[in-house]
Amino acid sequence: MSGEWILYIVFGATALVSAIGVVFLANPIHSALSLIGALASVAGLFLAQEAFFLSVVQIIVYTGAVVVLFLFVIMLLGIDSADPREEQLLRRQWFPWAFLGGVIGVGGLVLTITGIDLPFGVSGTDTADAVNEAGGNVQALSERLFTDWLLPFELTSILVVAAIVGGVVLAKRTKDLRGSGMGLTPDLAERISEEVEADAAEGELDPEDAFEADDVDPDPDSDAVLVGETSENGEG
Amino acid sequence: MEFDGWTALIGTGTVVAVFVVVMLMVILAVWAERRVAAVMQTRIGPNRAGPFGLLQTIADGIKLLMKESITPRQVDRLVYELAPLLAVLPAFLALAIVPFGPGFCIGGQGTDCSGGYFVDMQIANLNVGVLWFLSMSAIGVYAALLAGWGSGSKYPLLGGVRASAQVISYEAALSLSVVPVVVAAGTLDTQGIVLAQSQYRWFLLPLFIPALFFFVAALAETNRPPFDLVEAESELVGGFHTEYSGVRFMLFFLAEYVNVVTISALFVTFFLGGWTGPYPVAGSVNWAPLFGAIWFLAKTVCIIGIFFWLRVTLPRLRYDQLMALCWKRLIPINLVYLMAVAVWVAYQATGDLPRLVGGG
Repeated sequence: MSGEWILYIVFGATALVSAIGVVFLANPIHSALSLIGALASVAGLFLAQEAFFLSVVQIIVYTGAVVVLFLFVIMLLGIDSADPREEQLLRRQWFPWAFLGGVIGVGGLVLTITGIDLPFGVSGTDTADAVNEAGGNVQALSERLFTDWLLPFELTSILVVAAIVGGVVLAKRTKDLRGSGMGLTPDLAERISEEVEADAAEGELDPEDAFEADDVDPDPDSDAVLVGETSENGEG
Repeated sequence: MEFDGWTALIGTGTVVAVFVVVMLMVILAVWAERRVAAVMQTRIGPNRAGPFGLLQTIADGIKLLMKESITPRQVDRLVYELAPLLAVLPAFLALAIVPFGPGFCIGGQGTDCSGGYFVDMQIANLNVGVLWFLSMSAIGVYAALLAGWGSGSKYPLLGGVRASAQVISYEAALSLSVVPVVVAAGTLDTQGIVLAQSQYRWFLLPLFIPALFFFVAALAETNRPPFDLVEAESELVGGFHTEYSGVRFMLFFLAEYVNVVTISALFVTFFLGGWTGPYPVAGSVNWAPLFGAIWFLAKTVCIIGIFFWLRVTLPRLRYDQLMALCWKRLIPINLVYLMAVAVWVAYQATGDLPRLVGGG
């Protein structure tokens, strides 16, 4: 059994398990963590194919940026407090699209496995030897990107710039409403304050909750020593 | 080269050697930081354990190992346990691409080392080394984010959100200040970047602004003062690791210092000529790798010293100042500088400036 084959089995298995976790875990944060695992495993698969550049970029872009933003949104907006009826409605609305996406994905997989050539798309001509001759992944890839595929590359960058401009415009609009509720749109601010009140009524946000009696050191002096020695207060 | 027992042994040996060297540096750095801070503040500092208090870090480490790791009731168990590991893991993995010296040959002949074994003085000689470092610092964000959320209390959450916003922002600045180095050296390989700076053509002078910005972004990326808003005691108690104690706290602490060592080593690699030094000129003596490692570690220690110095002298920035510095100063100036470097490199290659700047 070759090393590549072992890596394929290991990373393929973790990718599969984490992908299942993304769908079935109840807590959205755990789902996002699982997604990190899945994306990192795919990076591992690329690594096994000696596609170093792709593998590292996969980690930088997806694991390092995209999922961090997912986590940010989940943590700050608290999606797990969604109304179950609303969730049901969303599920019904999106089901056809999710189904369509699934069919396309499975279809693509079947076509790839059976090796049927499609009328569109490209079959690669860059063998491992050709890549080595160009001086490595980065050189081979950049040469392709800036000669044969320059137009698609530039079009993609225009798309990204448009997305950035859109993001700035959206952020600017909410900033103008600062007077009406801390930079939030009025209805969002109202919803948040309602939720805070509801939580307070249930006692969820009671500050006493966070500090159980056994967590508090009865001797304040020993606490101070701990801070001086372990934190980087510079008192040592 | 065939893959056999010797290759595996050399690989393992490199990993162990790098680990031991870095752990020693971390232990000494923690002690040195407190002594240096003490001198600058006219105090004495730790001087009880061992000569000059050298064993203080080991004593603290043992203390943290023996202490109970308290797990608060409201934590999310999985995330809470995972966060310290996610802090340490990328910190050590990033070390894999640091070149500690020139490679050397054991038992082989000639420049291609035929019949012998070529030993790289780095764990992994990747041709995408720089990107590997950037991807590992990208993963480092999760430690603070997950520790903050998993603790299930408010100060860690605020600290975690702050930390991740800061690290993501400064990661952009950090990457952008490495790009001019990559353009100037013409390679993403760290060993190649060092070789491009041989004979004192250090990138520090031609790329002074990226070097400065890299250092500033490195301070922010490792959450060191004056960018340690993440654990601003007066506002956030201990930041994202407020709820951690014992071994788990030690892992966060360890990760921070490993990151300081790594990023100083990379500053030396990118801007100070890496392992090159006044003696010996590459490959002229049998001991060249040893001298290379000595030069490299000496330069790295100097950079770590600047980390300490700034920590004692500078007050902490406010949050909006932190963000303004990154997005309104570092990133735009870096972009302009990058363009200038790119034009210069292309001019050197083609000798055709008017066409490059769109003149005709």
